[in-house]
Amino acid sequence: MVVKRSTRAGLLASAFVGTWAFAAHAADVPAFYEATTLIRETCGTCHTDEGDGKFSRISHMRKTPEGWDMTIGRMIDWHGLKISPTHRERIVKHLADTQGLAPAETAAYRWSLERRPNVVRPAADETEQAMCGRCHTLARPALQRRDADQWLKLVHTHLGEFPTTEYQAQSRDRRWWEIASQEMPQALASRYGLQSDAWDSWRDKAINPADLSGAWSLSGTRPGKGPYVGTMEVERGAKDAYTTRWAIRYLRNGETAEASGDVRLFTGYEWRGTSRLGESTVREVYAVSEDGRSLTGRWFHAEADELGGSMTAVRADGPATVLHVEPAVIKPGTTTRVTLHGAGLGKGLAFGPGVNVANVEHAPDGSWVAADVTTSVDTPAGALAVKAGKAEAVLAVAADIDRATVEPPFAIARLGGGSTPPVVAQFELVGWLNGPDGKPETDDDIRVGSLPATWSVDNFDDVAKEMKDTHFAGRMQHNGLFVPAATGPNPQRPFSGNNAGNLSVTGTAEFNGKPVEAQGHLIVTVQKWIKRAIE
Amino acid sequence: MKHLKSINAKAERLAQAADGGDTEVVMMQTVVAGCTATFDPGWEVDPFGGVAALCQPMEADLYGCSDPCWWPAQVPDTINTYPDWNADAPSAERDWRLLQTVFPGDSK
Repeated sequence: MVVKRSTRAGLLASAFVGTWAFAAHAADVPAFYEATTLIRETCGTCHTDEGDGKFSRISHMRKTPEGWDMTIGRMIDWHGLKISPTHRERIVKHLADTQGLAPAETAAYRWSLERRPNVVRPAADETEQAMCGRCHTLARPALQRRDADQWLKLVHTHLGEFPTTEYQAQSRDRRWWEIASQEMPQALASRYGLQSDAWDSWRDKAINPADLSGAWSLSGTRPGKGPYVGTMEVERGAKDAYTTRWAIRYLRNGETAEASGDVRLFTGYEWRGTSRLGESTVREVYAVSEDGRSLTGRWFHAEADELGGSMTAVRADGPATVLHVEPAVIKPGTTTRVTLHGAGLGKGLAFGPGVNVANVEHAPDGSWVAADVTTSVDTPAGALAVKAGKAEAVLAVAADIDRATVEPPFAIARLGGGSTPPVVAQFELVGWLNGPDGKPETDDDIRVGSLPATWSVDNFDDVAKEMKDTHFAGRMQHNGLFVPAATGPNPQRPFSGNNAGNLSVTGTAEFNGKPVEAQGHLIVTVQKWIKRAIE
Repeated sequence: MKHLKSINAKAERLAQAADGGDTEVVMMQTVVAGCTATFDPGWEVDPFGGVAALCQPMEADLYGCSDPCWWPAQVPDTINTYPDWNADAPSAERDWRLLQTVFPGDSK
């Protein structure tokens, strides 16, 4: 369906209705509408009732909440399904709870559900890359579970709805139909088959989740603003529905923001929330731990999902947990005020042999403990093992940073204009120590977090220089946020080309008075017009 | 390439690739079907990993992408899924501001 609204906020506020609007509608669902009755009435015209609460196609696959919502979306677009938001949410909730994916099955693909931008992942194999990965992220097949007969029907669906798939140039380089219809269903079923031990052991928990109400302690990093800490109060409403009030404080500049939101829990662990954070609407995609005492994920702006922050939260009533250490790195031979943020903190603070700890303070609620930490000039560079009661954390000690990297190392921004919003790119400069082996890019490297940096862009190569890409493609802002230029033909460029560009990105910082610098790569490219929950 | 003269930036790039012995790119020219696929740029980047050899301006050939469902992950296909996507924008080069982003299955 083409959405005809003029503002970006309006466009995205209405998107993915089935997943995001649950909490608001949850109390309105008539209790007498059993889910299977609703599915029979809504889907039964086309999907055969197989008895025992099963329906053709529907009952033979498992998906994430987003996956089920997208399925209903396709039924609307392709087959003219009429369904109210309330019924849509009821069906998605039921299917995600009873035919969902276990935590272990989504763990490797959280980046997709969390809409993390510029994630690059290798394909499972070359064939899956060619057959699925040329249009989709590999999370798209990996976040579904079907047997071979249902994977084959998906191939048929592709060919029926997108007939050009078969004779694209990059399909003609192989025996496309034979591979699609004979090899892929078996390969996908062996990789992502309907039955799994993970789901068999999770399915009871999916419909009997832990109560999440209570006080939580938060921490995360919002690229462009740096690390933050905070607290959250969760109140239980209808079954699997919660309201939240949360507040965060950015440690770099002290900026604070308050939020309140609605949450719906799917599949016993999939937290989907919508909050008003300051002046913005943000979405929350978190995975709750099996015991209901911690969660991890990402929140992002409804108007621009490429912007958002990581989130880790634990119960405020303990046990002792360190979520964040500020600062992340201290210098040998200095005294530095170090604060540990988390839960259950206050007792047993220790920074290892040869390191003095003084003036210890802690919050009455245990959300932080701080101390003056004094190292000697002989304290070796590396990772200090910090203890706070039974909680453990790492604090880096270093006179110099060994190297820095730009994150993401390769990014895509998209031109915006007319009715299409731009996609911006947010960069961070991250400092590293090489670790005990002294070698860069090995497993023992110590990440010392993002560094406040200044930013610039340059033409990536001679072609970009000739095309004057830095002039046309957009502007880098002071905090590492690249905002692309307007879309549309540009008469000032050869053949009225678009404002696309191929740019190198440089972040520069100082550590202990010495310059630190790193480069990344940015492609500024044309817009796309399709926005999916799972791309 | 000695009998052909490059008249735009993309052709120039292909000529340079041919002169440089880039056989894979030259081979792609022999595939005579489709439009942009003949030169095999991606939607986001060109065969060289940059953007100079993308079909630009993209609006000049946009409906050659949407009508035959050529880029169904990036451009709404007007064959089956979004038949009215460009109904109010007869010329992409002139009316591109009117083209809307689609959210598959939005129930509004």
